[in-house]
Amino acid sequence: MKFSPAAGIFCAAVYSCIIAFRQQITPADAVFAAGVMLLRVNCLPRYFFRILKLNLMILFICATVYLFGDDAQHALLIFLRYNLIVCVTAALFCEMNATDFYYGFYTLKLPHKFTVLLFFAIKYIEIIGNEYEKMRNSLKIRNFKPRTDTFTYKTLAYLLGMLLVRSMNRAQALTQAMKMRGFSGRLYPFNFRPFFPADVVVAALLVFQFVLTFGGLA
Amino acid sequence: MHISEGVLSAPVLISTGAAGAALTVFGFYKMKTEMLAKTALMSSLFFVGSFIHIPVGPTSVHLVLNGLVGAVLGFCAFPAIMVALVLQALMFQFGGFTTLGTNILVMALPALAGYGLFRLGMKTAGTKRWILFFLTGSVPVFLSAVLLSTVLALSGSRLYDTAKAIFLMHIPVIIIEGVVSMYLFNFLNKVYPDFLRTEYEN
Repeated sequence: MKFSPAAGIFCAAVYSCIIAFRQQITPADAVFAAGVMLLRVNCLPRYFFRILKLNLMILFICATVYLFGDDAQHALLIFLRYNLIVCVTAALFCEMNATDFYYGFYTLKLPHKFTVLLFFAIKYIEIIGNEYEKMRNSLKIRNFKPRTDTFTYKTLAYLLGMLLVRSMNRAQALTQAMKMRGFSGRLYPFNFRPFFPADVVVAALLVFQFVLTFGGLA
Repeated sequence: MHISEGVLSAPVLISTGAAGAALTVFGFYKMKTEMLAKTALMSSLFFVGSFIHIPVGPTSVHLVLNGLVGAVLGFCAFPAIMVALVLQALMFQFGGFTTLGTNILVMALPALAGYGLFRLGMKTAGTKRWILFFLTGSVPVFLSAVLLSTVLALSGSRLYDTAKAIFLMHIPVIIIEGVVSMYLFNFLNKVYPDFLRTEYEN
């Protein structure tokens, strides 16, 4: 099932706020997470390993809380809060790209300065990513092997510097091209990401979660 | 460097979130339209920087680059870092919605120290300049690590040792970031000095 970026961002933000402030996690708090993951079961293999990797850091934090803070209950609370939120965001956004997020924030009517900056940043990430790939390949061709020495750090610093210089030139060209087309600090996109039937399902699930958590039904 | 969801206590989340939001709004106010391209570029570099891994002995670290962002943008580092953090949270689940304000505060506030140190470095020459360029990279990361450990420690006595461990984990990054920044600023100063000028703020 597909979600629109705006609905995904809104629901993920609200659910994160519900869970992050909980002092006790009950099975009822996982209803929304379970529902979203069930709706997104087709892309579970794509984000499952990412969640496992992300859990390494949280397991380290939980282990220190358990071993040195001597509080197993709090360690478990951190682990559950983190995993519920991460599972929901990973499941909701697994098929979306950076441009979808721009449209999502635009639909949510966030300030123009933010959405325009986000749009430009997304475009430049692509430019910088391509330039970085080119320069890394040229280093590889010259048999560069990164080591723990000054030469490596100097090379990487120059690579970063060159990346900035080249990207700035291309970024300026892009800005000038946009200015020529009448850009004055505001964008008026023609394409929007539509709302899907699944958005209604996920919104209903969120309302149900809200009632379960704060209405005392659980 | 990102604080994960679910770790911090509610009072810490609310207070740091409010402070981070207020400073970001001020950063947006300071950002003129002419500054947009540069801010977006630094934002994307901050985003890409987390994928550039640098070897340290048997392991590797990734650059934070908040010193560089601060040195180039000044107060506009707040919107730049905010946009990069939003994208990282949505695309890779690094950080999150509730910790966004805290993460902005932890990474963007020390960037202002980078701005000050860099301006000071540009006024000097020789070894003194090299040292100040080193500090432009390392001091913001050091301050970020201190802030990160502080917000963790403020979230309860159970997290004191976690805060200490996380600070110690950042020591190699502090040194590497300083060394890389030292060469990077020297390179930019020679190759593209215009890039390091900041006269676009409101």
